[in-house]
Amino acid sequence: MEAIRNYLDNMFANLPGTESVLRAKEELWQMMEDKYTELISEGKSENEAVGSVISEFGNLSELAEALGLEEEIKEQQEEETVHPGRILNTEDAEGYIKMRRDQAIPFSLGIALCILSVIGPILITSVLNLPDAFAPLSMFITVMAGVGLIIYGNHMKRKWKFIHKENCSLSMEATKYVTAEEDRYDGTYVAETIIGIICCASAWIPAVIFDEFLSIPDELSGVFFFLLIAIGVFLLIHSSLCKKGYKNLLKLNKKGTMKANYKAGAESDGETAGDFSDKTVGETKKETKYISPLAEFFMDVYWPTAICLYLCASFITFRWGITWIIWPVAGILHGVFRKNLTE
Amino acid sequence: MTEISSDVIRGYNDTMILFLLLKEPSYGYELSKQIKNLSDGKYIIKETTLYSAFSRMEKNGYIESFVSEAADTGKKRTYYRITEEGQRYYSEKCEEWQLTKEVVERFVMGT
Repeated sequence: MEAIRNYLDNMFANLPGTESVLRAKEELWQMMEDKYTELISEGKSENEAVGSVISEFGNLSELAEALGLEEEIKEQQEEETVHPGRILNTEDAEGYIKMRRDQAIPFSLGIALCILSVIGPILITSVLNLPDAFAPLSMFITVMAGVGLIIYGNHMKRKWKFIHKENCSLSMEATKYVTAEEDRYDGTYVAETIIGIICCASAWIPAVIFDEFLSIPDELSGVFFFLLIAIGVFLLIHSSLCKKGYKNLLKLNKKGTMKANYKAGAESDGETAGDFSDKTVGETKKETKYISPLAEFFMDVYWPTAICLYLCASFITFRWGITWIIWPVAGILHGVFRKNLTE
Repeated sequence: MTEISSDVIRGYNDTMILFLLLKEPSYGYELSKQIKNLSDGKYIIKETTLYSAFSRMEKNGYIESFVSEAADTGKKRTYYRITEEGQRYYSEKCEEWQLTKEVVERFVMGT
């Protein structure tokens, strides 16, 4: 039995883990298992049974049409990759996930730093009693460091850009690996998200405590407010970026099914409800494409920059009554940029 | 011993499967066993051949699949049943075979 399972696993090892492939594998396994069980019950030896099951299995190329993988299977047999499609193995998946995790830290830290940039001016003016001129300076330096980290984090993704551009899919083993890893990460993800939300939601508490029970200057409560928000935002962004790594990989196979279904639908003219829903999922997940990498980067940092501008302007001028204007303006500009910078 | 050429029989795997499904819904291994028995062991259908026929005929609406538990062991299996469209297709294939047989036979020398 083990030998048959291994044989089948090997046959399918380099195929993408799309739904139609998984279904075919499951069906073939059922038939082989039935045949094996019957042969054994007829008194055949284990070796004989395995031998005849495997010799009567047939040829993978016969399945190509059923799997919607004409090209992949032909390729696999010709051992040639003319087609731009690429099948990612477990190592590729591992590399991509690691990159996502490494990249999540500088990126979310950069955004946290932008939020933290308002703490410097508060400390300088109220606690350290340094000349006022240092306040905007410290803020500027922190924001610059934050933006630097965001750019660095974005840059780390560059090597893996092909995943979205070329026609990639995950091999069967890689799919298993990614699904297992995603499950394993789930606990951390939930914990990080919950702590992140608690931090943001409870950011006002220190202010109240300081105000009511302790004789600490009011300004310091602002420091704790922003500190908690920054920690919360860091955790939320970090966890969702890590999670997105797994999601992006698994999404690659959804695209494959979508294509296969589309082909099947075009051939037979009849579409089942299942095919349709798969297709809509694929379409809604289509990502926006920008005209250039610079444009993409610009849109990536657009909102963090807006937050920084708002906080800088507000804290420097202390005219909160007017600075909110930044938001409607930023919203409208975002629409304009989005329209002009996407393909 | 001569063996059946898979090129020749390819066009008639569907006919055999549909013939068996006309009697009652069935599943993969059961069908392959019946084909083997009915042909006195002269034709053994490969698993991949069988599955690609299922998948193609399901796509064309000749058969439908459903999951059911086996009466004896309680094991879940995918069963297939023939549709009306499939019955029409089956009669067409039978006529086609009569014609093919008639034509080819005129060119075959008796042994």
